[in-house]
Amino acid sequence: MLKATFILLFFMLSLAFAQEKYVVAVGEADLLQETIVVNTVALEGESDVLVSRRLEEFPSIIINDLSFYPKFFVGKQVSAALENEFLLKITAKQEQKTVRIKSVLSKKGKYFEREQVIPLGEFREQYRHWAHRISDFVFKSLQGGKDSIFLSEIVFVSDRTSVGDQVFKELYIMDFDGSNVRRLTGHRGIVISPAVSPDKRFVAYSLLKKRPNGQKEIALYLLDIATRKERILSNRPGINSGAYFHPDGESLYVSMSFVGNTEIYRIDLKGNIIEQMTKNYAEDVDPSLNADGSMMTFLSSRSGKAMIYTMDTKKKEETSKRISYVGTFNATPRFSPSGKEIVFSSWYDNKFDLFRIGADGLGLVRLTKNFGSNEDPVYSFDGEFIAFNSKRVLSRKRAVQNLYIATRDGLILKKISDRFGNCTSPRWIK
Amino acid sequence: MYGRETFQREFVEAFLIHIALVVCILVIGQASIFQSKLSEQEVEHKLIQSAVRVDVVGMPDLTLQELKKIEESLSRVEDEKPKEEVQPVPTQEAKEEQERFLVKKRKNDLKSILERYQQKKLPLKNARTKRKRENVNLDFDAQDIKKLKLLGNKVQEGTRLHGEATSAEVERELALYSDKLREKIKPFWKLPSFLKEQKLRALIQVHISQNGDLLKSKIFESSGNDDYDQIALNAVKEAAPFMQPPDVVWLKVAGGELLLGFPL
Repeated sequence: MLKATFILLFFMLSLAFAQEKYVVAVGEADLLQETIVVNTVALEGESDVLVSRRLEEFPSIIINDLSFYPKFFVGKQVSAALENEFLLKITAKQEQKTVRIKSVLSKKGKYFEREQVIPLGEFREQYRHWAHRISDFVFKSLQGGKDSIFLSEIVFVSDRTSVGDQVFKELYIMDFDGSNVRRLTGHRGIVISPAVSPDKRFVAYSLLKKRPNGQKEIALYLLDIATRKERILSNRPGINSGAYFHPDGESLYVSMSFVGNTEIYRIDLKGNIIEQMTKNYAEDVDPSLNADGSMMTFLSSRSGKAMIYTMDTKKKEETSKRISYVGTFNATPRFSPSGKEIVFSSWYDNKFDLFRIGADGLGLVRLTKNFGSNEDPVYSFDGEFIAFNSKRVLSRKRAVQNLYIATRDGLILKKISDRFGNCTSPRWIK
Repeated sequence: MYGRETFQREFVEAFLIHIALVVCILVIGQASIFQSKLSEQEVEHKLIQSAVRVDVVGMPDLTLQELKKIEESLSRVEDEKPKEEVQPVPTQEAKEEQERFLVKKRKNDLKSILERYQQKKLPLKNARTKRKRENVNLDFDAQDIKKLKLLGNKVQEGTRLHGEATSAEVERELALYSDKLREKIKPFWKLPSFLKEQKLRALIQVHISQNGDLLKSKIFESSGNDDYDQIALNAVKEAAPFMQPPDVVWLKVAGGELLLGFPL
């Protein structure tokens, strides 16, 4: 007993003395920026001219991809790497019906490799996609396996098929970097406010049409991307627009005005109403959800001005909360996937600019300035980037609208649409 | 009946148990005091944040990128002159005004003097609040850490190991030396973003010889992530050799009493 007590005492005292260490705080680490040297693709054996030409483009595609993360990477195309630089060596071999591409990323003490076997036909058509995959491999290797934006796509609206005074706006899809544009619709009408389902299978959009009696109607359509077949989801009287897919992919949120006042409803993929989300004498539009679908943000004029609100998608109106108290006119609020912040455009200095605000209404910051009129912002799946459209007035009659990508802090990285008519309404899908 | 000896023995036992308990309470108490200090810091953070709402009454004119640039230039100035407070120099006009003011002082009553005095000060105050507003919305972490020039959990003053130096002198020298260490290691302390986001912490114990060579470095407290630990260890190794520790503290430094906190 006595012994045990002494041991206990000794232990306690030694504990007290053991803390005699001095901690020197080194401080927050700087961000590590890696330089990646991309070599020209080395060809093994014989290959088609077409294949070798496409492989020649690989280094520039990869370097362009990496430039979307200027904080993390510097990409350059030279033949040799310095000691502290990563070297990306790509070797390709054309076999009978496939192209075999081996990528090796190495630096002193570090080594990553990946091999891709691509059917020849697929390589010829989708070679940019396979270049993006190498960029993604580089990103994953150096960023702890995280997904990059390199394989993501953007659906948008362009008026490039317009004839003379007749404006047609159709739906298109492209790679995140603006290449590989494909047209999705051919209505010879005006398509607005698209939304893509989480599995990338469907696009919902609204089509503006004039009825024979001169009345306008905005009907909601659903398009199957693979088969290019569309069908009407809702053509109730008035507006049927501003669709946003629920993360389950089985339902969508949409603004409809068949009761006279625009309210947000949740409908299934057949067009039947599941539930009414908003209930207010004012107009409620532009719904957007966080990644798990538990919260919705929308635009409402219930305070007299267009302001941003949020609500719990289960408890609805009883949890509706006003987020923005500023701006003469706010538009298109979009939740970040995490649901922690909302990006929106606001009328300021006679044009629209992008702003960001915390989902709790705190931390309002401005993202764009002196950069034309910026609207329709949308987050990338990881919440790190924002795509938006920006309008430049060229003369009194002419203006162009193009799509841009910025970081979530408003650092504008790239223009991703060029000479492709007026591009609007980007929707970013993983 | 208890014998005299049994009673004595049990009395001593009881006495020792009580002492052990007191020590126990003291140790735990110290730990909890330290913790409550930490939570106070957190509360301060929250207070600063909630001030944002009051400050923003309209749309912000400056973009986040512009604010970051301002912040950078401000911190650069701070780095150059760490502790110098810039005092506003009174202009000639203000001096004359003050003289006139002193003359009038006897004639005027207290209230009007106060009013005038307040009016004079007003623009200065505005300038100050403006600067505060610009600082708002910024990343607090970096700033806090910058300010945190802490020298760790000094629970005991320690016994003298060498020479005639007082413990205060030893501490001062240690503080100076750790500042130098920090400056030397900081340029090598770089993380890829996915590790930086995770807010990890590792402690590395270093033994530095009298002429500044790194004798030994090892993980004292792991962050739980091997990559993180390794990068921190490499930063120390790449930064070596260090400057010579002062004579009064070199035994402590060589004995491994310095822990490097990454980041704290």
